[in-house]
Amino acid sequence: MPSTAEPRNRSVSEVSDEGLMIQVKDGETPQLGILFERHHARLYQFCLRMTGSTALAEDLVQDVFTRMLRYAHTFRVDSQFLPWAYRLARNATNDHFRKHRHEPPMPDETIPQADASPGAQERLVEAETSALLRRALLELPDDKREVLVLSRFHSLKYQEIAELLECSEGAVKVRVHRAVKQLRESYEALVASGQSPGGGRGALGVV
Amino acid sequence: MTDQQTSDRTAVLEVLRRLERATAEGGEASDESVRETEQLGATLWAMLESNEELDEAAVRARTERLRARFYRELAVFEAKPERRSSLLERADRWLAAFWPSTRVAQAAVAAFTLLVGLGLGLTTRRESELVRLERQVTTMGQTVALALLDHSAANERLRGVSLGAAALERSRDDEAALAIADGLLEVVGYDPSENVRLAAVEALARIADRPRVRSGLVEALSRQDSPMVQMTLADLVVASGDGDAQAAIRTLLQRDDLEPAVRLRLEELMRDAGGNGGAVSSRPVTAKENA
Repeated sequence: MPSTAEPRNRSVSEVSDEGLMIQVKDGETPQLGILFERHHARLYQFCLRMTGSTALAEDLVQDVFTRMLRYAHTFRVDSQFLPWAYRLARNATNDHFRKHRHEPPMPDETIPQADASPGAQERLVEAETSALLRRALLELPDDKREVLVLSRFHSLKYQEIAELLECSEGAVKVRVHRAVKQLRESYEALVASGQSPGGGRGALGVV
Repeated sequence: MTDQQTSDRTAVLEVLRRLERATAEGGEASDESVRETEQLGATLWAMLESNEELDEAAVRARTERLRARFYRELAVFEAKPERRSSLLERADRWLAAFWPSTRVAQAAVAAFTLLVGLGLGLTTRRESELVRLERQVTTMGQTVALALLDHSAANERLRGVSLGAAALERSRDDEAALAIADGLLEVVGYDPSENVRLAAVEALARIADRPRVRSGLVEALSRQDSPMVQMTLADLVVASGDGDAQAAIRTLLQRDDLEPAVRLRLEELMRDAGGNGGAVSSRPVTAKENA
């Protein structure tokens, strides 16, 4: 645990994300702790949906906050914190994909065995359905998965996503639609092939 | 496939189809459509959540792991004394403060920088062209001067000496300067016209600090029969501090045809040189002063 002032122990600040980040930029690095408490979960979700791996997502979240410390000086007074944080998360994820180009994103989860408890069979089926959907999401190209994750699962507006992806708002809408369409096609194909979430690739550890 | 599997997968597909339709709307989406898209997105999000994500204990454990790693990293970062003193970081921050946030402004800055770069490039190129032209002019002047020094008419040779003197002033190239100096020394030694020789001595006075010119002038002194040139040249060689200057003046003093005024001046120079250890005068006497 840290020896320095730990914002976790402070009363919850009313300061905006941007205000806190400006303080971090000015050298008040412990203030990043408040931002960590506020946003680490959503950044973890982003990294998890992008990579499919819980362990990797944890590493990437760590990387994102390290980048916030290192590149705090690039945060502008007129910037919004969340899009900036997602930009760092996106860069961290893309850097990982670039380094491991030969390894497609694969989930590292395990689906539990059905036991004799009431409702166990139903829970197993639900888990399989969910895992199949996650696999369909991971089969999307990175850019489509990214725009879908940002738009559907996070509180970013289309305009903020457009700034993040450096394109127009209209282009974001089109990309989102195409991504949903491909996700549906991918899921349908998986269902039609009758595959288990592991897809015979042995990656899910499905039991 | 069991009934439940079929039912669950159909439900997922239904959400995906509805979401596909909802996101297909062009133009401004209605409030109702936006709400539906948000609801469908939330449903899909919930469907994607794994057991581990829903398991509170697992979420707590993961949060603690992330937290521990974060604060460890933060402590390490704060412990680094150089983190605020990095010149690169400060320069980066300084630049970031000037870098505009909007794309239009960024493009404007980039365009401005490009224009400044192009302007500088063109200016530099123009300057290098000027240098090249200047070199060409100097070379031409040198060629013309050397050609005129051999002209049969004294006034043309005089013009050649003037051109040579001008080329000497412009020349940044030692080789070129020495080529002109050699031509002028030839004039000082052998030109039949007193005026031309005097003009050549005046021109060479500017570069009399060069050993080759100095010794050339000393050598030319013994060949002079014009009192004006003798005195001007004697003043120049003594002032230049050449080691052979006094010997050359002594040789000249032995001549019977020497004008009394010249002899007087040469003796005076020798006296001064003896009294001052060879440094007769701090500056050469010009032909006009001798006159």
